[in-house]
Amino acid sequence: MDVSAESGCRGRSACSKFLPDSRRRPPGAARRCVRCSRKRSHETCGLRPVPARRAAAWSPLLAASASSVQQRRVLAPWAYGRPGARTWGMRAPKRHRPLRRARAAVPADVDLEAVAARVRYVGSSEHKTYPSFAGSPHPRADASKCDPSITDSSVVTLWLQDAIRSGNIGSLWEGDFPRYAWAAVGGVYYEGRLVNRVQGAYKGYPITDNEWKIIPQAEEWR
Amino acid sequence: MIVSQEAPMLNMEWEWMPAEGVRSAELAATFARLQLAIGDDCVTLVEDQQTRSSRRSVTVSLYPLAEWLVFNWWFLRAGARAGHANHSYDSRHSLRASGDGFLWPNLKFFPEGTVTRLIWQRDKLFAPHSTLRYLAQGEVRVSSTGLQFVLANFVSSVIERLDELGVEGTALQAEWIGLRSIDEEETEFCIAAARLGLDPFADGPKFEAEIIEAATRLPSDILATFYDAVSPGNIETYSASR
Repeated sequence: MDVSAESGCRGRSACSKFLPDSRRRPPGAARRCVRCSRKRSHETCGLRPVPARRAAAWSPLLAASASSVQQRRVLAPWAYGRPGARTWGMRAPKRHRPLRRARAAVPADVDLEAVAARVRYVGSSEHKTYPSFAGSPHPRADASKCDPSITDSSVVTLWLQDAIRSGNIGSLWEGDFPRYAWAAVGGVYYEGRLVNRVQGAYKGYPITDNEWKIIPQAEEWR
Repeated sequence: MIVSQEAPMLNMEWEWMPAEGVRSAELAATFARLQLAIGDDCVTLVEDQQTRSSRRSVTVSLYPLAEWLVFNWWFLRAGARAGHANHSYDSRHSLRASGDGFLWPNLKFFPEGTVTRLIWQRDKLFAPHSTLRYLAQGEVRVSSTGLQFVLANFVSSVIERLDELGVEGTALQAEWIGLRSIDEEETEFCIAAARLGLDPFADGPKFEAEIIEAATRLPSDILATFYDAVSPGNIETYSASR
């Protein structure tokens, strides 16, 4: 039985063996390549091709004539997978994105100096317990509270700019700005959080050592 | 473990609140009083140092919580690597990692197949920059399917709120659309990557060939255990040696 002809597979030889045994497939699933688990088309199969020496040693007639995939696996487990292995599909999503709140390498096309020059700290009232440059406090908010001695927003802007210049930023970007930036001042860790992606405005709040530790890659602090 | 219909389940209740002075559009739009309960236990039972009283809800923006849930969706569904309870694990499994300047309860999710173990811990002390500490602690197993339904309903509600108030283009909305468009084959991969401790959209693609090859080589009855145990760099070595 010519499996590749039956299935319509036109890809590389290692991917041309389809699973004909419908008992191994979940209900409703389409035929798939045993080797790479893709449907029909195999142009993007990232698996290693079967080495030529082993392919030559394998008797295609023997395995192709086997009536079930289980028999094929016994005959040629390197091509069809081990007996009992799953056979339905698995495929990596095409969409990629960075981790949400992790320190990350700075993108190659980003000039951090230019980004730092455009950002400013504006604060936000949910982190204040006192009237400030951020406006009246929001007493009901259960948020981290800023040190009341911080009364000059321009000082905090300098902390923010230093954090961005030194690459202590998160992997998530919104517009031209990183969502998060981190600074350590006087033994306290602060997190800056973008609140306006057009203006580059940030709020900031202290975070605990434990919150700091759960930020992925935080140990690579510069 | 059989989970009966009467088994406890995470209950999330919230009431939208005004957010004067909150600068970020998405944080302001989703400002709310939130109460989490599991059965008769109130997870958000807190002591408020300012008012010297206790209450059963916290006032926070729901956006960071919804975003954290969506970004860690696969870890909450399948990422149970025994012995990896470190800080990195907490960032994916503890609700406290939602961040954005709010003190979240230390509620951890440990998926164990058809059930998910929920553990919540009290704060022994007030956090240095907070007037709040959580008082409740406990542990319970809930249905994984039911939990996913509750979490998905919560995320949908937050996104509806953003849409109603005209907040667009957030990371949460983009991630949720991406998550809902995943097909069956991609779901299998995302679960496998999460079992390996890899984010399916950030780290998983680097190991795509190894993960898929292991699935073709190994019997399905041991595959989940294999992914739970093996280090991503050793997938090929161990799956081939079997």
